[in-house]
Amino acid sequence: MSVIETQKLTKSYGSHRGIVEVDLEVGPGEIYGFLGPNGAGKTTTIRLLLDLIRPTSGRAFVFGIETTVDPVSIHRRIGYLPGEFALFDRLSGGQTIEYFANLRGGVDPRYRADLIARFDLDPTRRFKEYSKGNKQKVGLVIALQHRPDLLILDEPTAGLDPLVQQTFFELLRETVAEGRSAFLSSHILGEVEKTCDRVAIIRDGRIAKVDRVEALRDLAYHQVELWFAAPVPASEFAALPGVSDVVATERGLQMRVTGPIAPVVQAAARHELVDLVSREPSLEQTFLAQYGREAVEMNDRGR
Amino acid sequence: MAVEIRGAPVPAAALRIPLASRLLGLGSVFGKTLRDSRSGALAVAALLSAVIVVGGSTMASTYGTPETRLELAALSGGLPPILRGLYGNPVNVDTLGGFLSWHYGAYFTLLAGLWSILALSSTLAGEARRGSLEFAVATPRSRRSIALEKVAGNVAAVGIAMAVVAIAAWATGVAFAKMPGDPIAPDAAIAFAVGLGLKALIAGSIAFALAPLVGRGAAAGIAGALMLAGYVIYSYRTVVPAFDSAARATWFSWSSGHVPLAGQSDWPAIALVALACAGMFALGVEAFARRDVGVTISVPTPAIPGRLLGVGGPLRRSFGDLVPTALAWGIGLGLYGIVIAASSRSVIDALAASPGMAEAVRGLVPGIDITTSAGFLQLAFAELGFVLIGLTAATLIANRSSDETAGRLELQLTTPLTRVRWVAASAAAVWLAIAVVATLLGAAIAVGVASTGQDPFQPALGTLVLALYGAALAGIGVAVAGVFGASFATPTVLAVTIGTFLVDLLVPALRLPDWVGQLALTAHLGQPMVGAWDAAGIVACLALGGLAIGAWGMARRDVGR
Repeated sequence: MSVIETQKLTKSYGSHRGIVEVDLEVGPGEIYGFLGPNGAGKTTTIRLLLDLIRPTSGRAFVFGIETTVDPVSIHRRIGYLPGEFALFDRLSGGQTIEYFANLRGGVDPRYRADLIARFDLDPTRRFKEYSKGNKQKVGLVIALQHRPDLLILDEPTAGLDPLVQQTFFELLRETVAEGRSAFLSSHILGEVEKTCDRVAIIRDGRIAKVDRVEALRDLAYHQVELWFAAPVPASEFAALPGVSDVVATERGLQMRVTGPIAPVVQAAARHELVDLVSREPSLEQTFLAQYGREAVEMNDRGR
Repeated sequence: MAVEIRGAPVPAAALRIPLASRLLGLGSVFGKTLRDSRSGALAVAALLSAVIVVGGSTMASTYGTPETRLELAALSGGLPPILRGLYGNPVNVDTLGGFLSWHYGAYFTLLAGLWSILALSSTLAGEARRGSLEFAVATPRSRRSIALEKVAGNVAAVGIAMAVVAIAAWATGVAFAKMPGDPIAPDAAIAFAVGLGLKALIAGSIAFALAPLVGRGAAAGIAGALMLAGYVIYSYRTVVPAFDSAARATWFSWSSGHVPLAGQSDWPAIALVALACAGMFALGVEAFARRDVGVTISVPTPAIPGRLLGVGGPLRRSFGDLVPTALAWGIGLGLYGIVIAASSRSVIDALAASPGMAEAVRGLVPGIDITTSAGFLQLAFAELGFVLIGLTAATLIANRSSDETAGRLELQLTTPLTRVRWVAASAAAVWLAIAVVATLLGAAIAVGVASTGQDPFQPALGTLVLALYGAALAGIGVAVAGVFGASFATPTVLAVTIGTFLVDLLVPALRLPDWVGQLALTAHLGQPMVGAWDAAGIVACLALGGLAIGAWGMARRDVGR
């Protein structure tokens, strides 16, 4: 049974687009990345999964339960971190965490204390006195403290320094090792590349691609540069399968190769080859090539 | 080695910001400030103008003959000091302008002052809290120029509102003049508006000066407390001798001789108010220019006991969030209540000494025995009390709504907490907070009445009707929040509070049909201070109905942010 399943899930806000016919399926024990640029519909999808907003059409199921039918049963088993949140200014971080533990009928205090320690959070300070990163830590402890079966995390590493990000990814791996699942949205590709099993890419409210992280990388092209002792006709390479964008210089050729690189190597071997350079792109470059530069925000924070 | 760096040239077209946009728009800090103030200025101008027009109409219809004018002059001149405190010092009250100044002057000053405090406390500090001020400060403008433009924008907004008020005063004189001396000359109307505007601005300027130091909320609270305390101290200085010296330090005292609608102006006094105002603005500008942006001094306040903060569940959590607000309102209202209740002794003594006066007052307020503390409180406290408890309900509902608008609700609702349970718990927390306010107020009134040697039970019990009224307004807020969204709740509660006040004011003045008067919740509350209760169950039902509607609406709609 899928942990999350959506069927043609659609949400519109009057004349404004939300998401359109989104189909997703997240399996048990999976870390599922939900990628897209700002405004693509990531948060709308998450809020629909949590029954915070209601679909215009289509359906969503979490643990096989339709979200609009019995949301409380779903909420018992999930941990959620919103992309933006404010909590109670007068409470300390520890009191805030305790309140949410109480709403869940109590949690294991040792695990909670362990999370607080691992995130290096001072729970005695008032929430309004925390920095953005420390507020995010409070949110992560709230989401994780009851060991939920499913974590739904909207931009979980926003505001965290690299060391705390490492801690978070460790916790995420531990979660999955225990057979639990995670659904995390991000616009930082490097973060998704490191942690997720599968990725869905949403753009303009529609799912543009769903695949394994490795398969996305298969979409990759190689940027190949060949250097010869004497000029070589570009047409010989342009005709090869998978080769495009051939640019000839005085003694060199640059080309883009999609799929196997062997035909290019074989053709080059027929000439006096001086040098061969092949660059494999990162997932981020792949994504940009596939979906356009405008589709993703370059964000150095995640790298 | 010095390196010269030249910025990219700015196209000439970009430098031409239209004048209209600089004056009212996004072309300057001044224009943006004025633009942000327009709805407040419009609302205050409309409300004050409505009161002036209605007051003029009341004067014309009730005191339309020379005989009734003489009665009015005799009544106002012979009022005991405590009632003078309530209504203000009578100057030529047998004229239209004198009556307006005497009867409504305090409302004008307090209402305009409240608006000014809210606007000027937030103009820099509110933006600093939101973070938007940092963008403005990072532009090539000095902090002083930003602060000065903000001040100028707010002063202009007050000026526009006061211009409307001046026109309304002049037009009221034209429309309702019945006797010689009734017409209000344009210069008198302008002088009245200038005085009122400056009295509003001095309250706001205190908030402005404090805001860079203590933040928006504390600055507004301190300035509001100073204004109300100044009003009470000045109004009751003749009843409470200890107030006398402090009263001289208030702007109510400085400007007491400036009653231009009654034909009496005191420009030196108004100049003093203007000077004080300019001084406070200068302090605020300097404080903003010299201090770190957005960094404020913590105002030491008694810590709320940890148990009251509540983390055990949604009811305790919601109530814990409301406790400080409830305590502040309860203590503030209680102090006012205790002063009014304790000073009723002087009224009773004055009326006992003058049977003719007692008879005249009975005619003025039929059905209430003014010679008892309870009767006096019904007359002097209940009407303002309904407005104040309405404002209390509005602030508590605003606090509740912020759970949703700030995003706290979203996290709570992704626990096993149902929407209906949250609605019930948070609404119950508001009602508990109103009960705290009413209990403090009731206790204060009981102490005040007991100090006069009269039975405190009935007036203290009567205070509960304020709680019932507040609970009903809160119920309306809960219903509106549930059905239409949290951001609509507070404006609705405020609108009902002010609407009820206006209905109470307008129906007798304009001789509107009885059913219009019955639309006001207060028409169904009887005279509880004197033990006359009337269909209080209707109000209770309304409050509970609000909960049911709110829960129904909340279960159906999207959770907002």
